[in-house]
Amino acid sequence: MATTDVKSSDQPQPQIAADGELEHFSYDDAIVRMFATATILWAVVATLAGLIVGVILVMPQLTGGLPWFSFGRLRPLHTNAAIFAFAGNAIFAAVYYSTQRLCKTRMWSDALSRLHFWGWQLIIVAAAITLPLGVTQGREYAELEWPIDIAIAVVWLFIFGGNFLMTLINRRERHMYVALWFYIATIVTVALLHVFNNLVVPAGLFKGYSVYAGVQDAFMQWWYGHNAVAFFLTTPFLGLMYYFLPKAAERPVFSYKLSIIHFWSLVFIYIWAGPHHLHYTALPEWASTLGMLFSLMLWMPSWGGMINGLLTLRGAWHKVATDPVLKFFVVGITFYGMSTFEGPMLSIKAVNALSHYTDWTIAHVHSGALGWNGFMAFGMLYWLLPRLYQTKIWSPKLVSLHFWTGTIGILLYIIPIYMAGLMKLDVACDG
Amino acid sequence: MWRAMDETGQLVYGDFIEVIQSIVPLWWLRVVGGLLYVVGVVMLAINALMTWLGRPSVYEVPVHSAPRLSKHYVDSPAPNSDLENAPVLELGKKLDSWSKMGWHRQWERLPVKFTVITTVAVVAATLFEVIPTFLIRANVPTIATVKPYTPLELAGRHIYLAEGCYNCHSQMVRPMVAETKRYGEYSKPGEFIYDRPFQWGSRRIGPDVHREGGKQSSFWHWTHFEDPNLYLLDRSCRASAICWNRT
Repeated sequence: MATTDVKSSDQPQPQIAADGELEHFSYDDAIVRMFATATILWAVVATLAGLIVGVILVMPQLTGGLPWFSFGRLRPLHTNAAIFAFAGNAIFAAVYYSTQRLCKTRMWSDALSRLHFWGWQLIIVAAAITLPLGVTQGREYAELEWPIDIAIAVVWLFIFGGNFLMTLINRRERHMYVALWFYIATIVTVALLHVFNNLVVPAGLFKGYSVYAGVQDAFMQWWYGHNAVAFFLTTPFLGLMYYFLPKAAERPVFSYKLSIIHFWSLVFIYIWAGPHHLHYTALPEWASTLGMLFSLMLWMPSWGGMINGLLTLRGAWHKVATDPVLKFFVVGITFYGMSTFEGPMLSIKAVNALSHYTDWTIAHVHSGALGWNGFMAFGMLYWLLPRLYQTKIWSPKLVSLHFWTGTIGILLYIIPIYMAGLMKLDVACDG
Repeated sequence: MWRAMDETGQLVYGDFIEVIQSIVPLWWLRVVGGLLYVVGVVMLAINALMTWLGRPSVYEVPVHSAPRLSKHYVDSPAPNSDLENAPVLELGKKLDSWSKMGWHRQWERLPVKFTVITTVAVVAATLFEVIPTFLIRANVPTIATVKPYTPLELAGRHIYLAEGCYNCHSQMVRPMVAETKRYGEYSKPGEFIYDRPFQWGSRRIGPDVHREGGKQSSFWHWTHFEDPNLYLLDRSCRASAICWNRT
């Protein structure tokens, strides 16, 4: 089992060894096994739910008139399952595995780790029950009602965040590796976004009224919605990339300086970009313009991450040909690069005027979710499985087959939907 | 197709459903792509299960050793500038030394400080936009005729939310000719001051419904949603189902 840390420019610090006394410890891999298993189970559920809503769109009569089996109720279930259940558990598996090793210490509290695991699964189950029942806030990616929101805040910030921060404080490695910076940004920002977007006045157990109204509500919702993409689907996955890619490739990260620059610019710039979801709506012009400018600025820090990832493979490209884990990572990072180029492009008002409300957005989202999040998680899981279960992977051939099926699946998904978007906006007929 | 207009300035595809109909074959292709992706995930699940079955009866738990971090730690001095002996301004040398990121190296050994700085960056960036959005009254000019919802209207709004109508319909007519022609007068900020939450939507599988109110009689809506031909279809899909039926 590999235990050494991946360092880009860490120098050995002999004076520490001279000072501190030697301590013995082991890592909690049971919790990683739990989160990895949950990731896989929820991946099946989330993608299956997506398939079902996709089929409902083409064959609406299939729903048989059942209210809980309708597109309007199941689509939020699909998005929530994909983001919070599948991607969420993948993030936790990555954090729990890598943090212990990067900090040379066990997680601070095994009990908190377990509370985190079961609390989060309970939240997902609660979501899976309430959403088909039509219990919803009616705000995208923040559909869950206030009792579940409170549970999320507690589990995320106090249990997960507290355990994580105490682990950092009790670490035995002097400097925090870049993956940990991204985890910190993730925990802090998701907590902020979640709490301030979901402020409601409760009207019963299953109903709350947003404290914001109309334009302000829209602004807050897309501040949240856009940054959920940024801090739930981007920064933790960059952290994952920074740990698992160099591990799998057995190469140090390409550039330490680049990681600093792109980390801080991502953290500071991403937050501003939310209003690009509301171009030409009733949102004030200045906010919309500001959102566009910062979205354009985001292109470079996003590509900083992609470049740092891909160039980490310098001198190791021959491994990509044979190692399916690296294949997943390379395709994942490439999709990250494509969608973070497409994102700023779509944020340009003139482009957005055409693309908004069309299927283009759906294609854009899925190239990111299926390509970047999905493939990074799969790559990580295939790297972890033999290490967690201390045996060989059952079938390397099946891994390869998954890679090709998945890649073709993504392309077959996004290309028709890009075309559907183009047809709706109909550039050709517009003259 | 949404925007297409003929030479007399009329929408070429006046009926929203025409657009959706032309897209359905592409949606079918998407289902195939999605299916392949799901099959891939199932392969992962099978592989994981079989790998788990092959696990040892007792997991090895390696014990690692590392020294505790000493409380007394002196940061290495700021890296020297490469320009130390070059004929450049003192400022240039300082900049060069700064760009070697020694200062960041210090932050990296201080998790609490690092967390605080990250939080400050995020909060500051947020406040730049939040404060004007909430404080400047001119952002949302009031419209005298906009009144709070009646209880009946609110009840209707609850159904709209619960059924997830926002997943297919927007309530936001943008100020563009093709949209105002299709849906009516464009939407103004002051119209939404009683909308908690807002329902502007993000994708149109069905048409915009912001100007739908009052266009049709209540009787029309009654029959529209209770059409016996559509009895088999779920409530939120009925609208689209009607359109399907017309084909």
